[in-house]
Amino acid sequence: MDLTFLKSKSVEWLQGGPEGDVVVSSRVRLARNIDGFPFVPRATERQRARIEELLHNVILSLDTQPSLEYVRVDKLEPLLRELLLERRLISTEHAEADWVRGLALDQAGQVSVMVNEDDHLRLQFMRGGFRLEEVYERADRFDDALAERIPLAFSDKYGYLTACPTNVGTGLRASLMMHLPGIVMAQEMDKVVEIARAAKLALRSVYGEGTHGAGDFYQVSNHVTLGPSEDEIIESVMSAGRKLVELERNARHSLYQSHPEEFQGRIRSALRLLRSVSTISSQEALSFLSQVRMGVEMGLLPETPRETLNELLLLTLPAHLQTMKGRLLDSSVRNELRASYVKGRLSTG
Amino acid sequence: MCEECRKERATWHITTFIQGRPLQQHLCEECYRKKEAASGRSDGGFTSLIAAMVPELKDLAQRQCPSCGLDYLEFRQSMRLGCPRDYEAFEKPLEELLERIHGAVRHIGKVPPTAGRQEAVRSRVRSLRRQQKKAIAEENYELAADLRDRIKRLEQHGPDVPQE
Repeated sequence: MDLTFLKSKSVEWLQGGPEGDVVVSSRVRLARNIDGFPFVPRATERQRARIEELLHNVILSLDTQPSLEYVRVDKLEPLLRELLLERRLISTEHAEADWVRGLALDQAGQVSVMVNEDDHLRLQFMRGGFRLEEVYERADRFDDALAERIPLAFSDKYGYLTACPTNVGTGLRASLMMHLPGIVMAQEMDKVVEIARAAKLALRSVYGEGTHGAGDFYQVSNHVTLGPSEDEIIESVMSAGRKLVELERNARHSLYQSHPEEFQGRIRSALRLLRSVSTISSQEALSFLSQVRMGVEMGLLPETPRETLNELLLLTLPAHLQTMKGRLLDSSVRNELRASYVKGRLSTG
Repeated sequence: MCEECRKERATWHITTFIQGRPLQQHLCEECYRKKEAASGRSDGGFTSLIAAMVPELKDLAQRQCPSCGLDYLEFRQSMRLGCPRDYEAFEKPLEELLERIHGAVRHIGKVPPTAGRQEAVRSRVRSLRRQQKKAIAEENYELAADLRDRIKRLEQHGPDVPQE
């Protein structure tokens, strides 16, 4: 299948959305399995092949808006798998597994359906900004259409049955990707941890391990999938999301109010640096782009469009850079290419 | 590295107690089997050994899914269930685990629309109420009224009445 659209078409969630200064994107994932088959980790090679074939046909027969393309992930070259991973269209497990598996996706990066991940199906819906309710509704409709075609593994007691007991019940994982540079700069991450803990949400940094990673991007998602209803889960993530938006805006505001020159200086020097260096690592680029993104969102750098920043944050990741160039590059060449690409985009806007 | 043959990778890490002091051994699969055979223990012996040491584990070791053959101890090692039937087969110990993970053991959310039961109606009504709320917020009163009627029909007649 032709995946060139991944290189050219713009990704919908990069254009931002409501509360886009803090909430980069909203995502909902539903785990579903077909009744009568073993879960993927225990299925035989033949069963996995049958599941893949069956689901491939079912998914493409659905009348979905937008329409979906289907690709065999196990047949893709490693760089394309890496690209899909950076774009958050597949999970690390789905990129690395060694069995037959598929992916259905739309051109704008709003829908991705993983076939033969740990579960037979992982439906994933995503949009820019704070739009979790809308994204859930789309996932819910897709799930309804799917259930008309295939019998899903479901129990009255435990709900939707999944390979890992951490997903059973609703099978729902609702998450917000948030940009929290103000909170990090004001050293208030303990408040974020507390908000997540109180709402039983998982908190992790998007780029890197644990609770601190480059770029100050964090993902909050529900931990519990069994017990509360879907609406309650969505509401709990949204309620925590609203608190974090407020906390981040307050942090940015008070940092700026208390030391306006130092604050502006920091952002301007990050921009100057990105416009002048001849080599830059992915982690360094994320850190500086994060500062510039905050400046742009606060209206301090009127000459730089916000879409450019969101795009640069994605396009400067290793697999994206290499895809742009059309071949594998070692890290020193990547760092030079990254620097010159960022420089070009930030000087022309 | 296996302590016995010094060739293969050690995959068994066994602690035995000699005069009350723990002794750790690292063995490969083959050497472990040999040692087990020499000491007169088979796989079944292993289970009964566990059962003798920790009586409550006996029940777990013997719980096996009739459909996919996975047993509970295997599941706890990988944390991946084998098939949907496992949830019934492992019921009690699994519920204790679910309680620890989720703080709950019962699903009250969505039911597949094709289930055609009381539950499915409840779930569908919840979904329609959500749409109704949204329609009201958007001042789309025509849609809201239509949704209200559909909710009413569902609640009175169940899912078998055509909705559109």
